[in-house]
Amino acid sequence: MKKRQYTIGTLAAVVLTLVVVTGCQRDPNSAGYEYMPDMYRSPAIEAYVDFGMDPFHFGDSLAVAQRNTPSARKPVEGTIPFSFDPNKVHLRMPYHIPNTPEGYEMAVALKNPLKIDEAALERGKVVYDKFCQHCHGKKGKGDGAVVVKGNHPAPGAYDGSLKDLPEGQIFHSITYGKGVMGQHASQISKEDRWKVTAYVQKLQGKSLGEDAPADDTENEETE
Amino acid sequence: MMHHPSRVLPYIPTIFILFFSVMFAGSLSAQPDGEKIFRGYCASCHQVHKDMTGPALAGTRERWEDREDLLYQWIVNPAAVKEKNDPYVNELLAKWEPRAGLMTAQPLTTEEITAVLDYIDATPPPAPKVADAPGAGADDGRAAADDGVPVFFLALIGLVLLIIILSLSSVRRALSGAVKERDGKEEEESTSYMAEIRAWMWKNKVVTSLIVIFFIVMGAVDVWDRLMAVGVFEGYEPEQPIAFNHTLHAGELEIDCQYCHSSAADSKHAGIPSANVCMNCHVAIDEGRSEEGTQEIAKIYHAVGWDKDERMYTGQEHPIAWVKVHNLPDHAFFSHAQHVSVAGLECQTCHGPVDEEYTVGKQFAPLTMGWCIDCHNNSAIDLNSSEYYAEMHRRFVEDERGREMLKKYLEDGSVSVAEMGGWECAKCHY
Repeated sequence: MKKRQYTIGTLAAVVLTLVVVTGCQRDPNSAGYEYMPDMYRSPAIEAYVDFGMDPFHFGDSLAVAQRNTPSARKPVEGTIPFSFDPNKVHLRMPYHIPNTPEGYEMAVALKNPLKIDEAALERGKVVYDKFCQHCHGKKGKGDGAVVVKGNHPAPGAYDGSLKDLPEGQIFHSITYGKGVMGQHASQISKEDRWKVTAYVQKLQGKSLGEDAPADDTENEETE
Repeated sequence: MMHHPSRVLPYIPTIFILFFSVMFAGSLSAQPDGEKIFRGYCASCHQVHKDMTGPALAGTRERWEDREDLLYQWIVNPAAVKEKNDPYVNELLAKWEPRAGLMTAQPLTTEEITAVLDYIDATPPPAPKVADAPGAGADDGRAAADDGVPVFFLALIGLVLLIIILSLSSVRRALSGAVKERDGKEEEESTSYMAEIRAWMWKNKVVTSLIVIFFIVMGAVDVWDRLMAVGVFEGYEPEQPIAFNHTLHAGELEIDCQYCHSSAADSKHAGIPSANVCMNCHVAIDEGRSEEGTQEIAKIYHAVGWDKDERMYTGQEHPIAWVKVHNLPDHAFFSHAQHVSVAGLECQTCHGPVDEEYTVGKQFAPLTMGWCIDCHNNSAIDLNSSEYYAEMHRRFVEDERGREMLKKYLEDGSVSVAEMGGWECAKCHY
């Protein structure tokens, strides 16, 4: 009977080896082993860190409650971002024209509060390349990759149907969106929106300083 | 200078053809191209067979049948027509003005409007989509990446082969035993496997010790690898609530990474775009290239509370629970703004070719300290690139010891990040 025992023992060893080999596959939804979790996870609040994952520190009920609370949220309505530069405080104030058809007409009178120089236009181009060119195209002809390669609706061309759009309405459209275009106020700061407005005017064929320059000291947002 | 007639003569037919083709092309371009005008002026708000920002345009001529003049006036100057208080126009405005505002006046001529209306009448409704649209399946990449199944099958095949080997060898042993019995020899005592193996090992000492050393080394290497992988999450690719396709958006459609991850330039975090950023485009694009794509887009609508048919927000929001991929430990500081805005690095340097290789979110870099300081050691800084480095340079040059240090730094031809303080402990650990 000794012979039989060995056979069973060998088979058991083989099965065990196979279990060990196949059992070591990583769960794709688990990052892996952490070295010292208490040094990995901040007790202070950090954006995008899921504290609910660590019930060891916070207790089960709190962990579950936190997991069910979104970490990215809208600021309270009317929140004004902090500005290091006191001269730019007026650029942090909320936009006063409402998102209505009447508001769009009101925006005609809006003027650029910034002094637009070459540096501002350069910044405007950077913003344009990040946020506009994939639809509006490099030169604003409405031939970006989303339109051409994606075969999606084309925006008007800056030297075509949008040639005479006044700067106030350009700014208004970036802020609230127009037609198919969405709101870009959450992605582009007010200052950058004015700079990209100036760059769009350049693409419309208007030269630098063609519009009456805005008064630097008095800002018209306070009207 | 005059050409000899015989030299000019052979070219005359060519000249004629050229002349007439130019004339013909001229007469063609005088005829306005309805499709081109539609795409340039109308398509940003209207589609032919589907409501978008404005109503679907198919059948416009029938709907405005008794008031075709008014239609032409409406397109050129909607505000003036609104004043006229036409019952059909009022009906249209009551439905569409609250959603989209008054239509923008279009600077089109009567011929151009006719061409657009002809184009609308001539456009057939889209054929129903075939389910197996080629390419662009959202699951293509994931299926290829899933290699768990082959390993299981290999193990199964190995098990079957082992059983066959064992049973064959027992047959051999039984046969040799039978042969010995027939020959009248006495059965040897050491017929068990272990005894046989032991005898073999005793005979081949060198081979045995080599095999033993091989297994010890392999085991040690494996243990070492596993220990070094603790806390290193390279290749981590958890399942995400929406199978967003980076390759399509950032690759083919050339949308800048920072369009969605817009805080990367000014903040420590690159940021996960909120659903309103998705809706900047997907308010109009509600169909994917495949059935799966359309389902993924529907998940955005569910999250942000958008009624696709009524084209209105319902207020029923369901936050998207994305799974964080890059978990840098709390004791290490990292700022995206420093690397994107100051160093001007491409996102792909650390995040891999997301625009070429399908993934929702995968950790490309090991994010180990060795990886960080290696790059800090090898990357050069342009001292003119910012006021901060210009000031550093000024202070170096002012001072005798500073000049010596700068000279030492410049021995390899450039000033590295490490030499400007990128290896200071407190830069990242504080």
